Amino acid sequence: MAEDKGVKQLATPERQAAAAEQTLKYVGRNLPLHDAVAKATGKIQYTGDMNFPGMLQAKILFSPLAHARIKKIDASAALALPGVAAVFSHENTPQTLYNSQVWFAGQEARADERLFHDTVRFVGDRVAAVVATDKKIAAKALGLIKVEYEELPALFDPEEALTENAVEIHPGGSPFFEKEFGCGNPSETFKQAELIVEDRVETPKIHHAAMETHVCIAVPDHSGKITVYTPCQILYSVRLVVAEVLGLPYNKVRILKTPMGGSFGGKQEVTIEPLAAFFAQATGKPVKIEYNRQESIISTRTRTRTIGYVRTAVDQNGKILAREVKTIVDTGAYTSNGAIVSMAMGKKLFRLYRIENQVYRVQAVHTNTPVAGAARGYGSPQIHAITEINLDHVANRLGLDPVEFRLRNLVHPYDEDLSGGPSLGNARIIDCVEEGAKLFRWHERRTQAEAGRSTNGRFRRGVGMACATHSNGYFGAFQDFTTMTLRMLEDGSMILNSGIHELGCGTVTTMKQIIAEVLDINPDRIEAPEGDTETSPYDVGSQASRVTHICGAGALKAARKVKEIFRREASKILGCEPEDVVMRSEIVWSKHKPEEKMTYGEMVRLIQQKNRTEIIATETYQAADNPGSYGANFVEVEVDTLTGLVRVIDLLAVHDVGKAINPGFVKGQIYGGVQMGIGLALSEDLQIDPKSGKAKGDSFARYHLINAPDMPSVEVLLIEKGGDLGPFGAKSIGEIATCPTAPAVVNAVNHALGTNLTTLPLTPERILAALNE
Amino acid sequence: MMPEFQIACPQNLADAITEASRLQGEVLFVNGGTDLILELRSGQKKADWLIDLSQVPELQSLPTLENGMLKLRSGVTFTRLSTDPLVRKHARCLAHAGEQMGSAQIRNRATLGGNIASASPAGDSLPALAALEAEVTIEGSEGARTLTVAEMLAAKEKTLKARELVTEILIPLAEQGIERRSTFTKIGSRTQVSIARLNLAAVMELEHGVIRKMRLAVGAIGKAPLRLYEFEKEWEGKAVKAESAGKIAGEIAGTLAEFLTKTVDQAIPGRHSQAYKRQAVQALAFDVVAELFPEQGLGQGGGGNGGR
Ligand SMILES: Cc1cc2nc3c(=O)[nH]c(=O)nc-3n(C[C@H](O)[C@H](O)[C@H](O)COP(=O)(O)OP(=O)(O)OC[C@H]3O[C@@H](n4cnc5c(N)ncnc54)[C@H](O)[C@@H]3O)c2cc1C
Repeated sequence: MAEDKGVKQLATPERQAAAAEQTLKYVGRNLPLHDAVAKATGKIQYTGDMNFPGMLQAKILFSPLAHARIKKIDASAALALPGVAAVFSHENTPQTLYNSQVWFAGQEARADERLFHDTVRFVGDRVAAVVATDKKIAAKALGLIKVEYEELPALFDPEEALTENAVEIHPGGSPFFEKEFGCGNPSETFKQAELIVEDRVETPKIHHAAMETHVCIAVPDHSGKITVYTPCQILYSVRLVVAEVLGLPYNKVRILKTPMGGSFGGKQEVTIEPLAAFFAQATGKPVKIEYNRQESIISTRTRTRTIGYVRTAVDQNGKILAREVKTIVDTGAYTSNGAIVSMAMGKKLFRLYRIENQVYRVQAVHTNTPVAGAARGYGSPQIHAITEINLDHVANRLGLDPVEFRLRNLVHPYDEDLSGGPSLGNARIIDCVEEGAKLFRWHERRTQAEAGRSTNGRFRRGVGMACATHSNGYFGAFQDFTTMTLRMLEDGSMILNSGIHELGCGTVTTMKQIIAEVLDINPDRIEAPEGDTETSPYDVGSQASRVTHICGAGALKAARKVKEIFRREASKILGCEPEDVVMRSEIVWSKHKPEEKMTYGEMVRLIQQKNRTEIIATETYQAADNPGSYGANFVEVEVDTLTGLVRVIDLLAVHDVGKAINPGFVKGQIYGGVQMGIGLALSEDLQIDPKSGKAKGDSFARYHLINAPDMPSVEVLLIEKGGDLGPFGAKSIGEIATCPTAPAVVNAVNHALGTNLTTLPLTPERILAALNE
Repeated sequence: MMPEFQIACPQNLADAITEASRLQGEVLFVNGGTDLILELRSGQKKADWLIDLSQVPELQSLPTLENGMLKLRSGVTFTRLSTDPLVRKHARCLAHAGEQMGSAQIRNRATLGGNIASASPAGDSLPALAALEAEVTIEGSEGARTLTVAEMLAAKEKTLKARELVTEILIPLAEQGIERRSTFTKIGSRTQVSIARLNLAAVMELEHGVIRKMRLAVGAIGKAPLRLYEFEKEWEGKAVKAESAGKIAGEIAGTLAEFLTKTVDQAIPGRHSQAYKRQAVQALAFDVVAELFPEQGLGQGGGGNGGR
């Protein structure tokens, strides 16, 4: 290691920062996912692969009816089957009501779920469960359970839920949640507006489609403690709900995050864990629950179906004067996060455009359909579909180019949130749109597409775009903080102890890169195990796009503290001042004695021997900002006017991420987000039958994801201007990545066809119907 | 979940037939398993015994030409159909169906025999076989018989009985001096790995610039593919002179499109999918005709899903 001795320069803070930027060693690099090799080689143990001695398997009996009272359950034949350990139903399970999405103790939420109710409220609701020595016996026993139902009238249409004599699914009926908030004086402004453009936009129920279906294992022990192995997003949420349902103290419930085979919000809420935990408690044996695809599709969580009514008032110059957005949020048969997602949607309205007069009204309703919940973007894809499709409609009516129209209205860096939310921070959406339009050759392509259309051929091209914003944690809404313990061991390797969850986004490696940067250590020498409620400090969980921004800042803080402690202790050994301790590439020395070098590990050993202490820090980082992450998608499509099939030809995703800690991960998130967004725009839909309430799209044969042959080439442009409190300026990408895509695709299709299609997904049927109008 | 069953692995055709009649209980054949395994898992089908045909050499050998026929064995995979030079030459529409069916993984396992036996309304080989006027050999303990695909599909339950095997598929070749052109195309919900919502196969035979034969079959609007007899007759005997080929091709496409719409209207009146299919089916007409007259460059503008 050569030291840059001769260089002596008084550094200003700016110069230092600039120098640091240039010399970043680990941050900004494309390191691979820490477990990529294990996953690719099949060596990783997913929960489905795990077995425990004496483990039982549970299978759930799901309701074939959309709404019915269970009159009688006869499980005698099932119980008589050899190998069946127990049959559970509403008759012999806790009556505790809970809400599946609460993530902190004391959180208010409407609790209307139960392990098993005596009334089923959707096709796919839980009726009973068999716990048996193996899955086959459990499945066979399910077929032997006789259930008598008394059918009740059912309700599938969210707007019908708001009518007077609507079926009451829960006491009090719908809406079960209503809210209105806003800024300025929209109603007065509307009266004077020159142009008002209204739309009704609808987004469907979709399935998250993680490769790994829902699975967990609960293991009881001699002391009454239950340990749950689960690929979850929020350990402490699982602990909370399981402890509540089982009536156990929190320290008798241990939750371990297992390797994640994909979630996208689908495993954010607590769905099967309390069941497995209760079955384990009741039988005294480990119990595994593993859903198949159909079960994961219909009986876990979906994206909310959302109907939006939007009115936008503009002046001749294309300035948005006022906007009114009303949504009807269909959360399905149980409340889940219905209220919070309703609010989350509304908040985004005030963070993308400078709209001085705006009001948001939401009504959340129950229907006899699969339960909605967290889904990548947490309402953002829905609300951006609603408003961004409308904005293209407005631009069209004004005769203004959609990019130009947006540029006249987009927020600027450090604007305030006019509805009173946290400051937008270094909001770089204008950069996204300007640079994106250039790189995509927006104007040229728009013109070309329009010129081609005059020939009136079968295939029509369209070019569209859309913008979106998303959050960086809970600051401003709920408490948001993280605690982490970082240690350096006697060989110089390190352990980060924290409640992180790797969802496949690269959280573990990201934390390592941040720590590595501060301490100048090879990231491979850092272990960052995922959360375990018994040993990890508290964390709010992998939700709200908070992990890189908040947990990353926590790791940065802990690393800085460890560095400070290390230098303080090392200075005693080296006989110098802490500032004189140089740490570089895992070698430490005093700048006064550069010839006396030792490894970090040797130093830790000396610190133990001579100073009788260890290098460890526990730090709590409290979120203090919540800037917006921003993104814009530019899309070109080709529509076959005979078949109504849409081909997305090319897509550019531009994202303001502050700083990409690992650009490869950021791009990975964007590619996947685009794939989900195109699916939302064009093909994904549970397709609830309006008569039976059955999901037609309950298997991948009938639920169409965008697959590789239909993926366009996706180009990514990152805007990295830092400026907020995330580590090295980093902001979120995982959720925002999917938010602009669906409206951009829809806008491109509408551009191609001269239509105003607003009901998603734009199936071939809907496209042909619109063309025939 | 996979239920329990026993499996027999006969090593030749005679044993397969004997096993099929000897074994007790519910006996089913399995070849690629791409339909059957799913049906067993979901409980749609039950079996005490599966007879694995994948090791029966008589069913797996490669396509050959015999007595004016292209002879395919039922174990031929869709991958093989799409690449085999004989199939591509004499039964191109079947090769196109092979290309557009399922995914690479499915095509590597799925067999023609399985596709015929499953006889799904959307089965991709079926319109191609119908348009090629293929014959199917069925063998069982009571001997062998040969049916046309159309006969077989017309009353599936009666024709392919339990424990009977599809062994061979015979496709008549074009006569000497006659040029056969054929193609297949489909519309699914996406470009690949998609069950057909509509599919269409066409065979056209030309002799000195005259259409000698026109055979078309459209699938996924009924239990079995529908042959377009009236339309076929209308065009047989028409001349396709090089100078006017473009015009004729255009006319064929136009009338075919209309004819197909009418066919859909008659096949599925009042069905929810009628509104969509009656219009979308026209795309198949244009794609197929573009492929039948490649020199006319009619496939401009993307060519839809048309036979790549
Ligand atoms: C993901 C996926 C995509 C698919 N896409 C398509 C598609 O695009 N187009 C399409 O047409 N199909 C598609 N299929 C369906 C399936 O792959 C085909 O029908 C295939 O041809 C079945 O052949 P197999 O050899 O796998 O049949 P198997 O599953 O082995 O058997 C199917 C049935 O035929 C019987 N059988 C098999 N061989 C014989 C025989 N020689 N004699 C008598 N009975 C026999 C079996 O008993 C069983 O009832 C798809 C399936 C999947 C899983």
